[in-house]
Amino acid sequence: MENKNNNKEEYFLAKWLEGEIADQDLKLLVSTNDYLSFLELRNGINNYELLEQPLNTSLTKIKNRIAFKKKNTTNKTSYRWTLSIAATLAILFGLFFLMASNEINHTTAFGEQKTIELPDGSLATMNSKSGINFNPNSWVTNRVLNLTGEAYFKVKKGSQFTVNTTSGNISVLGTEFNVKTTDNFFEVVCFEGKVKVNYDHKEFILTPGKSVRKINKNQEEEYFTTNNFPAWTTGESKFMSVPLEFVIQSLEKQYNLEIQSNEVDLTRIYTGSFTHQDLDIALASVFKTMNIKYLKKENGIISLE
Amino acid sequence: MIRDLNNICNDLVFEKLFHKYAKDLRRFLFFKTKDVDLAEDILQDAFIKLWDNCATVNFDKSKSFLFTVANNLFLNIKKHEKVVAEHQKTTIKSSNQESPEFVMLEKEFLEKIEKAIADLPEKQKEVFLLSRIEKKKYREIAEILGISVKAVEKRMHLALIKMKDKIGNI
Repeated sequence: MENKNNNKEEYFLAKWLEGEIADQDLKLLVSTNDYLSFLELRNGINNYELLEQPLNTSLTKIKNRIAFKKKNTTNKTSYRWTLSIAATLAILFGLFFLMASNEINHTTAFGEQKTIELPDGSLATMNSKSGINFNPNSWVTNRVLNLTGEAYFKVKKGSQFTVNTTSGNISVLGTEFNVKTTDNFFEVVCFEGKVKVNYDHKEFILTPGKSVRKINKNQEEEYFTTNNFPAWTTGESKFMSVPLEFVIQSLEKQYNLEIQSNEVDLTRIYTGSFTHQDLDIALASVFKTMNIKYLKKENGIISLE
Repeated sequence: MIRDLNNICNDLVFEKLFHKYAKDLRRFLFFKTKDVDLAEDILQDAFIKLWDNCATVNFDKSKSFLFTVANNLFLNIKKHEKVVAEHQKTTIKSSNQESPEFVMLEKEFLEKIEKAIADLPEKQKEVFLLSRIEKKKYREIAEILGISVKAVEKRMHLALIKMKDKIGNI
């Protein structure tokens, strides 16, 4: 018995550093001086670890931000005049709008992506055919916004930040996450920090890499991703075991198409991605891999058979 | 050819500069901010500023450019915090975390830790790094090294005692 007890505490420092032994228990095992030294040592080791972390993710993020900027700052030099007039009009209109309803609306068109800065410096990147609206006046005390479609949020630390959708609500303190919602499709992916999802009276806590989604009437499912940011922000839409119906919806939003599915079974499961740059490649990468024939007609109508 | 190697606007050159300076810059920012996330944000902003100005910044001056920009970004944030604090009329005095003494103490301490790790016997160092840097569980380390979990814990335990003694002594 005594021997067993001894064994358990034999290498207590190793266990303490892993958190298996609490600080106050360590205090009983060593002198007060040593106890303080060990606490200090652990602090130092933690800092050392943080500073030795690989920098690859930082580089990827920097590259993404640069790529994003490039896309948004073309044609800067010309049309200065028109731009300034347009800006003035926009401000006037914005002011009028502000006074009228106190709400700010942002929407994206087919194939468009847009990043908006919220009053506290948080960023929201919207995918095509999405909308965000919020009240800037109460933002300081109440960080709430409404979302339709899909958006990627990078939230500044601070008070509670809530995203309302017709399907469910997401609340966080300061983190990065992606929300996608259409009819019968709801998905939240957490990239950093912690995200709380309330859906249909159920609550899910997501940690980095974790994701929860609900498709049609199926049970909510939780799964893992290995990405550090959503693929669509780099010009690609990715799907993991998603019914064809929702892939087609995304294609339509991205390229402003009308896809006539005819006799094709829309419940078939698709895993893969399509590019935002080239329609032909995108169509091929979805339908050819599913062995579905498609026909391009006029006015952006695609017919499947 | 040589021109190309010194052209920061070239992706490869930019990446090379990142790998060369990012780690030092992160340390520098961490000592100033004491906040990993903030240090990371400023780090990214500084490199993006470098990219924005890649055509005008001299290759040999890129290091000082990065550190100056980072420092200014840090000071701007501090200034902004002060304004916010005054605005909210909170009279909490900001701690002098960025004072030179503090930065130096913190830096010295980290250097001591680094030295203590470097001076560990090979077997203890191996276990320590696998655990703290590679984030492996003791069980996984035991598997990798082909020893018992108990032996892993022993090495870790001894390593911590050794490091504590070393740091206490200096």
